[in-house]
Amino acid sequence: MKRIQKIAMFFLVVLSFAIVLSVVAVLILYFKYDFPRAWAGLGFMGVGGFAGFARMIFKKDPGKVECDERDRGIQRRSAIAGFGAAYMVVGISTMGPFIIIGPNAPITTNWLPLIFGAAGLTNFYAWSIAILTQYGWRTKNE
Amino acid sequence: MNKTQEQAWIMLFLAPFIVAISGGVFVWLFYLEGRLLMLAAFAAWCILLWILPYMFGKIPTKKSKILFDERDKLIQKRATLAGYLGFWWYIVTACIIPLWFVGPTGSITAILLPIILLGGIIMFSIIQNIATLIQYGWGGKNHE
Repeated sequence: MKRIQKIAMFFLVVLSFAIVLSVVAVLILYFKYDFPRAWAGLGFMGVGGFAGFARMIFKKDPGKVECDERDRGIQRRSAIAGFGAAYMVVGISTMGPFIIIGPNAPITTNWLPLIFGAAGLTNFYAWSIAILTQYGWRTKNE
Repeated sequence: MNKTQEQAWIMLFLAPFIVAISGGVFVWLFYLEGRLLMLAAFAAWCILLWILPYMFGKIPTKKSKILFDERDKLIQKRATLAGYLGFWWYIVTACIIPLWFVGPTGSITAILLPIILLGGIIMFSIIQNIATLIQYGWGGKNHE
């Protein structure tokens, strides 16, 4: 398995773990205290920040050629996939309320940080899935 | 001045106008004709934006000249990355400022959300084109 595949897999696992943990925490808090206090469970999304350590955990092999033309192409396409998916989330989460509830309807400000939070999460998810799809989810297609 | 620089200069001034005017037209259609016509117009606009680059690509140009080399590709890549970063900085700032002033229990009108999106598209375009021009040197002959 290539280094970039390990990093993408680590991203997927850590982010999925953070999402599951947050959903469980929100549900527990909901049954105990009800909303809006239950939203505090979203604080567990911070666990997803550990994904940033991936490049430190999976270090480069010294002396080995890490990146050729094919790898660069895959990484470029994955970056575009990440950006496209995140951009779509921003588009839907901004145009959606405007179209559904109308332009003059009030919307809570809590919605705003959720927009870029969801977009960031989608970016990393789409990037990881694009990397793993193009290289293969296991070791064979290196 | 090469072709990319000319495009960057044109788009630097034209793109914000196109985005702002089309955004205004969509809002106007929403108020006057309802959401269905607005969605149809938005879909038509997206298809047009998708098709136009292909149509321009079919127009014959001077074949003898190499118009786009490795350096141009690198400049374009860096400029897009700069636009991308600028876009995210803008989106985060535009989402935090209302939250900061109104507070977490307050509310805003839904019209603000598409304005944030349109601002993001304009910001991306401006930063990308300025980054392109900075890397080429704003149009000097030595950078062709």
